[in-house]
Amino acid sequence: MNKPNLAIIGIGEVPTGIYPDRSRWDIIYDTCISAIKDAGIDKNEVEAIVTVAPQAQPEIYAEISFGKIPEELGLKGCKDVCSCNAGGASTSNCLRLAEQLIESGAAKYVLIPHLTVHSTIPTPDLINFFAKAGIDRQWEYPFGQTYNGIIAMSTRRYMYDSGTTPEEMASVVVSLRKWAALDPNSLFYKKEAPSIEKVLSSGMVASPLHKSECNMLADGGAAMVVTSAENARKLGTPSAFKLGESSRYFSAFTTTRNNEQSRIDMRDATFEAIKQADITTSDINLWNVYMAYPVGHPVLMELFGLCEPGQAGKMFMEGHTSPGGKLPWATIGDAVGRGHTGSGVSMATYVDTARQLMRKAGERQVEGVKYVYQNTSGGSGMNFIATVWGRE
Amino acid sequence: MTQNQKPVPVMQPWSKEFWTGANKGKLLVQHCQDCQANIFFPKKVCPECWSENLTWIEASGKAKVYSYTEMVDMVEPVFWGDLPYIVAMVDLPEGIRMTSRIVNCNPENVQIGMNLKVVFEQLTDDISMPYFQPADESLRLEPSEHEIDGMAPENKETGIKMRKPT
Repeated sequence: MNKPNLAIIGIGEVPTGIYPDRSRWDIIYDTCISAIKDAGIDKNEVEAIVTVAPQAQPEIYAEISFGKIPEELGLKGCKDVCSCNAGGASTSNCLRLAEQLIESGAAKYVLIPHLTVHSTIPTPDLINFFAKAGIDRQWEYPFGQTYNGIIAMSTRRYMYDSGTTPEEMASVVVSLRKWAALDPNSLFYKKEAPSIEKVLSSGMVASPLHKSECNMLADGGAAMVVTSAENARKLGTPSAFKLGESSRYFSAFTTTRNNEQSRIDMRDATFEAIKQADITTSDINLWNVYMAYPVGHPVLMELFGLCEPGQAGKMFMEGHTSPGGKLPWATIGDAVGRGHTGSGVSMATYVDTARQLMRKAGERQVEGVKYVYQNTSGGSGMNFIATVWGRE
Repeated sequence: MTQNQKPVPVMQPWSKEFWTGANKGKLLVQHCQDCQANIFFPKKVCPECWSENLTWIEASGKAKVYSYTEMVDMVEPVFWGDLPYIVAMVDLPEGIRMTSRIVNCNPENVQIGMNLKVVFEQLTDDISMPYFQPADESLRLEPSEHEIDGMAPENKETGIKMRKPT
């Protein structure tokens, strides 16, 4: 595979939270305008828009897919527009599509927006969508399976195999929420992170998964402007350069997934991306892991070789992954800390990867950050996309 | 809330045989007669070799717990009446993994690796759900003396073993 040739040069984001009065088009306007201004380009220089498909929001999904954004924002130079859906991995694919548009010469600057407003969706519609997304309608759903149930089983199996304790699992949430408490764009901004005891007493949802280990649905949105690496260097503004990437597909459903093989694949994709970036794991200053629920975090830490097998829970419990720790980890606090915005958590993670490399992350800024690892995954863990980003 | 309001499996033409079998108390596994693969979820063609020469074998009905969860909250209203219930991924000796429920068992007694036996619960006139219960009869909540040859006597004609409402 060729080396990546892409840089994020502009970011815009609105706070994640419950904002029923902030319309979907409010979010589009605010995030896209701030991303284009942040990139320092003229609005009419945007030549293509690749939008993260808005999950469970069919009206705006259709409006965006049928070209309303450039008209609404007056992007006179726009030549191409589409939406892209790969669940939680959508943003990775939007970036890839943008890279292809840029590489082919079809566009110099591409805008990648995302928006989600859950708070105005009628509850039955939300249940209807989230109860069935990523869960098979024949072989899983009629048995009473839910998304939380899938994760609960995965968590139990991981704890069984690794010897990880409930307290260690709870400490993953503590770490994620400590980052979220410092993030002005988080649902939990300035809200004290829960203690281990508080996580474990938050009530069982699906054993061994507690309420605090699940995501809260929220509204949010962000946008990025991307261009080629050489053009970003020419512009000279703070940018995040994609240095390495690799992906794997596993299976649409957890029932049919070979967990042992998928872990090997996640590790291989990660090390392929790191190799392509011509660095090693010890060069990475920030592990921006997106796995939607806590269990993926210790699983990946062990696969990355950052601790001995079965010891990842201790790493979280000892505070190494928290703000100020030796292993900065998921600086938006993943979905547990940020709030669940459909496919938006992967967008928010990319935006924060860029923000960290641009040195604009405020209180959460990882000092001296040069290389960031970021992964995404879609559906109920159907795939894994690993990327490495750098300052130059 | 009646059981009939529960979601029924959304079938494909090539999976109907599974549900016909389940309604007769048989756990069927799709099998490729060319490459000998056992296939789950059932497919229109063999996903290994694209053969259309597919048939069904009757599974032993045995399984082992790969993982499980006791659902206690945040499920759809249609399942509220079942709470708490145990959802599990179970490994069959036929080499496939299914998501199902573990029934007739105290949740505290469920363990990873536990041996199970299939049991069918009627959902509608046409559909019986393949659930699993402990293979060890002493761990079952339902007394085994109510069963004859693994089947409740009143259902021997249809072959469907009914689980008593709990």
